[in-house]
Amino acid sequence: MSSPLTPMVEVTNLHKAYGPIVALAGVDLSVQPGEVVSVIGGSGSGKSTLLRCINYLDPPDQGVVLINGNRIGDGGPHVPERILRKHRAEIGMVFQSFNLFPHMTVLQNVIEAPCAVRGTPKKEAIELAYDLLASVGVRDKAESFPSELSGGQQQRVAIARALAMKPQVMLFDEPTSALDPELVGEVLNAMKQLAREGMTMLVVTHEMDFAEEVSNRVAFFSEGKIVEVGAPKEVLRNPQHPRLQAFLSRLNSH
Amino acid sequence: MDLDFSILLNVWPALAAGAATTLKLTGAVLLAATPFGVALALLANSNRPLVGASIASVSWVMRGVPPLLILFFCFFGLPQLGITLEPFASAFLAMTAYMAFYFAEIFRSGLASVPAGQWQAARALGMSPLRTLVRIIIPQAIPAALPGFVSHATEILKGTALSAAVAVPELTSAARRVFAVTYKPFEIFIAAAIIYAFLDGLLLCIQLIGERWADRRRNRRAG
Amino acid sequence: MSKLDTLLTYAPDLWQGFFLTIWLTILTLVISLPFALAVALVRDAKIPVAKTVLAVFVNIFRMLPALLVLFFIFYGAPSLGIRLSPVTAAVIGMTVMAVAYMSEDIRGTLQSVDQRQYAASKALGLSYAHTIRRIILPQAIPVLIPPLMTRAIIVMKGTSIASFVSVAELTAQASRATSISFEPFIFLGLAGVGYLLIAGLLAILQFAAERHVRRRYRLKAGY
Repeated sequence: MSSPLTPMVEVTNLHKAYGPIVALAGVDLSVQPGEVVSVIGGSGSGKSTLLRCINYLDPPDQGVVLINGNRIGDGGPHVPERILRKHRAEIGMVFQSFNLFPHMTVLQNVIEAPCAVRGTPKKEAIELAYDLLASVGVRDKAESFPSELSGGQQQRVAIARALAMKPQVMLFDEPTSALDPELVGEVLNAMKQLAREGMTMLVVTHEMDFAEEVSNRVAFFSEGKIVEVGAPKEVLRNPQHPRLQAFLSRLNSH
Repeated sequence: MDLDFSILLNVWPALAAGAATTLKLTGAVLLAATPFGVALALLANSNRPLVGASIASVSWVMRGVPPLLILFFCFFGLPQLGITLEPFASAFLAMTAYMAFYFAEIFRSGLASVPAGQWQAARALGMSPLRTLVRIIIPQAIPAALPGFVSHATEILKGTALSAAVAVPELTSAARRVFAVTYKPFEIFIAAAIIYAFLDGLLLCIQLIGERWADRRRNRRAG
Repeated sequence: MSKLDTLLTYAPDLWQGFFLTIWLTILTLVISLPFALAVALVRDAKIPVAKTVLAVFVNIFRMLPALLVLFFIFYGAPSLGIRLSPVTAAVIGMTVMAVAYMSEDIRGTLQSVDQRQYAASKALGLSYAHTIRRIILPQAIPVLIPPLMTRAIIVMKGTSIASFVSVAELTAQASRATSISFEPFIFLGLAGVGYLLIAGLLAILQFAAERHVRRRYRLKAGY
């Protein structure tokens, strides 16, 4: 168990560019255990890249990523997949496009990783899966295929799938952006419950109400950097940075 | 195994002659099969069901049977109908026949890729079907059909090797003949492979030129 | 000798040729599929030296006529001290060509699987090998069926090349019967029917495979 002083996720001076396009221009962020941090900002501002660098789906060009005090890699540019896989087992990720495995049932989706990566016996994994699916409200869909589910249901399955690995932190990459408006609520509710249970969460989102209601802190991303961060009420109601003010007024005027 | 490429200095004329024949046959088939392919593609879309069905059946046969068999069919069969052709001509006929059907498939999907709205707009403007085809549809179909066209042209190049069966002196059989004399299989056949690669490259150049032409036309119209 | 007598005299040979053709086709397909899969996976996984070597291999063989490759193997093997029977040389030649083309088919299909599946799998901590085996391949297989079936028909047609090294497959038997009896339409026609029959069987196989796969993965149409 980490001491209260060790952040669950700590990134320092993260840089990432795709050719001429700079996605991260020196990002520092620290997320405490049990904290929920929402990341907001315009499209293309680098928010998704930040998440992808944390679990090294895209390795950062520069900078340090610490998960529960453990550094990913040792400073060299290439980190062996073996080591990355160990870290990724502790980091859960939920994607905007759900990315469920379409050729497997919901249940199979959820037990695949625990069995293959953690070596969990199948029966145990299935029991765990049923519990998780129940907690996100899709237990009755366990034998269905993803194509038979609504977007909201698929995303909740995706959350269960990530949780099945018992990660220490959950990364959410715009989890509701691809959903029809009426389906957004059920996913946000599942995420709120997760927050209540004390999961460390880093959420990239456009849902300002969720950010205000559930987060401990809100970080505003602009042009590859976090330019303002603080308590939700401060950041969202009393923005200091001009670009944040512009961003929020654009949102509120639609 | 020691390779002695110096024998190529002696035998290259034979290989060159074979390459020339290969090139001639490829070019001839390409030039003949293309317009036939266009015609077949247009006919295949005809409104009369019998026409479409018979073309589809012949197409299925021509593409489902080994080219070598078609070659033999022309070579042995035509004399029985009173038409006696020398080897090159019968190879040319056979290859043109089956390649026309392969091209027809490419051109058909190229034509189909042009949105139906184009036909409707031209009709609404009072343009005749022929004019529509030539001025509106085909120019838009060409970029879509180009890659398939070039890959089939490459198939023609490779297919000429089969004409060796009816004693056409193309490159592959020339290489075999040279081998039979020199007993240096690797050097000879590698040389032949290089020549094929070179001829292939020529076809690729045609594709690049064609793509550039298509791009320029598109930009000119947009600008 | 009446036409019927002629037919009956050579029919057994044609029958044998028919089965030899089927046998050559199946043998080539069965041997080349695992190799083609391996080549595609190695290139897809971007393993440093191997991917370049394989890319060169694939592109070279796709440029050359199958007949040249066959001659290279058949006439080149003795120089390496290996005596190859004609059938063996033919199967090796056809397999090499099939692997080159098939690996491209497979590679294209692998890349057509939603790349985000790789991301999801990686994020869960699954290894590359596991991802390919359990996540990517099962999604690629339904999409692979049509191109592989097309390739199977091409392999079938390609078996006629073996006639150049005296393998008595269907085309060879038919042309031999024709040149002796001067009945091209009967024997070459029958051979054509034989090939179309095999193609028909492959088409039925494709239909059954696609239905099985759709049912197994409960995929909706247009997946």
